[in-house]
Amino acid sequence: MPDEHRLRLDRRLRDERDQNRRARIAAEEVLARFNARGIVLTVVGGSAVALWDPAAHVSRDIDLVGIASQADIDEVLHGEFEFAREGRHWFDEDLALAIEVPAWVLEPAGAVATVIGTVRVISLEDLILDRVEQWHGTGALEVALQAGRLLAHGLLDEERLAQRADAIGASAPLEALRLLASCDEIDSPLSHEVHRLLGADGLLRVRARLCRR
Amino acid sequence: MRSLPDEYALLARWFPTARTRAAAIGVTREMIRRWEIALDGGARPRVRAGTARAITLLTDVAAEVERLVGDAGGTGRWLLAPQPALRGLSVAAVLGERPLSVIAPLIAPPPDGAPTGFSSARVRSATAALGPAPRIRRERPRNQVEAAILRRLGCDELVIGAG
Repeated sequence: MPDEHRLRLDRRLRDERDQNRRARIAAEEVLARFNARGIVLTVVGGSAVALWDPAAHVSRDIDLVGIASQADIDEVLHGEFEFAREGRHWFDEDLALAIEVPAWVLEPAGAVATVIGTVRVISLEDLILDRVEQWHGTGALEVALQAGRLLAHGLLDEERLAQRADAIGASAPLEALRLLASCDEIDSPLSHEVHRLLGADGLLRVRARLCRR
Repeated sequence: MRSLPDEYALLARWFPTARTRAAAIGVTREMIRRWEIALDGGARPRVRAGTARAITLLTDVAAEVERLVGDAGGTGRWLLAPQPALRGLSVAAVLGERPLSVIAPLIAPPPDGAPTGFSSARVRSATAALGPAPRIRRERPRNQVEAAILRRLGCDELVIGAG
């Protein structure tokens, strides 16, 4: 006989086809069960992008951050929701969902959480800076595009974003991404070119390159 | 009684000597010596359930602390250092005996105040002007285990990317 929490999750997901809404529902149910044990977890990564930008095209895994032992996680995800475990990943093929708790502490340093509905999620500004840092590390187009959409978000607190970027030393890559996001067309070669220019010569070269377009 | 957890093998990364491993787990050096002789001989020692849990939890905490401080040796020393907030006890000493919420503030201070809240409807309306998101291939490398799981879930290859 399945656990009552699993049955409830099954019921709520039965008629839902939108992948991002499915992930949000699963996050609501799972986080509530962790909360009941006094464990506070926050949605981060691509699943946080989908909470802030419900049209985002992201994968079916939910990344959670918070102070929880692997045993605690297993008791909820396996014990109550019957997810299978492989290494640090818990997943369910019938529900087409995976959950990982990759860390205890939010990144970038000093990041805080917000609540959307009942789901605790990394703040919009810190999520943008997380994407900025990932772009700064890789030049990857997908994070540039995600950050570009989040920078146009109606709930963005520009002042807080600027303060946080300054605090973590990400002002230059943030500005480079803003310039990149303002281009009419962004493709992978351009994202990587701007990334290289920023690394080699700084913002002046990025401005000169993108203003020629 | 349970088998010594696999995670025991990881502890030498943070606690390079038998003395520090013994202190971190809360057992005697003689016990550590016996376990390691048994492991070298291909046997899996039996330990108390509480000791097995302590070893697993210790590796969870040490891995996260090392991720934050970037130094395995420093991580081990910090876990064994007397903490003012614990009245001189070490984090290793209280693991498993007190809830993780007791040591959490030592790893990351909690933010001030309650988080801001938004309704889902407000978030949707704040993104209405963005239009549909582009469908593009993920370029960042993905962990192979994770990529394999996402394939089993029927996830779009575009968002799995190279894995």
